[in-house]
Amino acid sequence: MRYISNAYAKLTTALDAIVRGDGDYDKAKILLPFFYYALFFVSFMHLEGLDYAIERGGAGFDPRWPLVWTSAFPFETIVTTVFIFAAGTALFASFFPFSRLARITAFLGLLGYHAYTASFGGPNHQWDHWLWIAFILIFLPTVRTSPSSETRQSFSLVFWTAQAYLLLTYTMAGIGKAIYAAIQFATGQPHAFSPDAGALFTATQLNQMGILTPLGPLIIEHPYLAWLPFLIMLELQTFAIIVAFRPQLHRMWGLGLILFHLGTFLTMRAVFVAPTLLLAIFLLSSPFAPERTSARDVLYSIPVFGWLGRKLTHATRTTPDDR
Amino acid sequence: MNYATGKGYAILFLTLYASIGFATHALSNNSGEDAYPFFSWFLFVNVPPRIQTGFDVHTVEVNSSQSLRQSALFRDEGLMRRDIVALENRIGQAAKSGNAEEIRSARRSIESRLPAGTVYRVREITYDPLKYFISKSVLIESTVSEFTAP
Repeated sequence: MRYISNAYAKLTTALDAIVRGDGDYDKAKILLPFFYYALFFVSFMHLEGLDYAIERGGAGFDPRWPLVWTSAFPFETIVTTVFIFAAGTALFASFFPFSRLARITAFLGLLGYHAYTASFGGPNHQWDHWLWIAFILIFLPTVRTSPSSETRQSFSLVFWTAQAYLLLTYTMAGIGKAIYAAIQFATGQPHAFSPDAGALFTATQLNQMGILTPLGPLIIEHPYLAWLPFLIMLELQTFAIIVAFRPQLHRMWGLGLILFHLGTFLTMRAVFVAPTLLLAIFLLSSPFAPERTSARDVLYSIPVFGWLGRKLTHATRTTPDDR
Repeated sequence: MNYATGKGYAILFLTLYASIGFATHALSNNSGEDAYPFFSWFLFVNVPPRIQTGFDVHTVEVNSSQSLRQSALFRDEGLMRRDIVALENRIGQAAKSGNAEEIRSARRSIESRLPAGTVYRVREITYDPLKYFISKSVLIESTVSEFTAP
């Protein structure tokens, strides 16, 4: 219990240093509408697929709990309602991003669409980040003309929570890979740290899907080329949540994770496009990233490797993250 | 909600999300199912083995002339390669397990795309995925079944 209490105190102290409610609040307030603009844009794009969704029909449609009301309606009515409600509520929130009512309806609209995509057997996680971030943003405080410092700090805190949630999911993915790497290593199988891990993933995927990708053949023929990028990907994923507390790394991690999605698409055609826009809004444009920072500070604050770098170069200067 | 309380809720939310996600994975026995809308994010966690097995369909004879064009006939019909792979695995698994109904259904799908009289072989293959991708070379092959398109 004491350990938990100490850990909580450390986390909240670290948060206080990041979430100040001054310049970060101003930037977060500017960025917020872009989330809803983007949500409307993608919801409108989904509307393009409405005809196809109706034509495909309701075979295999097993509604998740948010669509429990749908049992009384024909499939065409359900799909049309879900798609139009998602686009309409996203547009509403784009116009009134600072209204909690608008943000709640945008969340409900997205929940309906998300539940629809997950109602055909297996789960579909493309829009998970969007859904949960839309949920988190509901809790933004009401902003008046001259908000108090408490309100400004609370606003920044909710924005940071959305960032931290986004990063947390990558950490969970990284922990999963680390756990299974240990199991596979112990049983003598190729594992996530094996030099040919990236090539094996790519070849298996391309053989099964029977497709070619721009970079797939290259790394299948030269498996070692993918080793370092694969290890960097493990670092980016596993330690992502730590980066939430190191604002000087926000932009770099955002770029790294976008490159990871681009890389897996260009090699094994893993289509996971939806989170990249969020990585751009919440990390590439992070309101908590310092205006100016030295390359040395950035490099030394990288989890594990920064620490190793400091040890190797006998750096004695204390970085902000050593607190 | 004031800032101090908000901090507590933020950390509680992140902890709960991760805990439920991991619990979901543990309880679902890595089946990919989830406690909607929570998820463990355990994606691509198992590195594929260096030796893999699967099935392919090999045309042996087309209109009495010997031909060994692997799956080429399907492609001529405009079928996507991924559909061919799925079809090959479907008939292979059905033939291996002796599932007569599934064999009939898979044969219909295959034979509707083949000229009448085409003889084709369903093979179980063992291969190195890297070498198989580059040259389609297999380590072990065995015929599971042979059919003739009506």
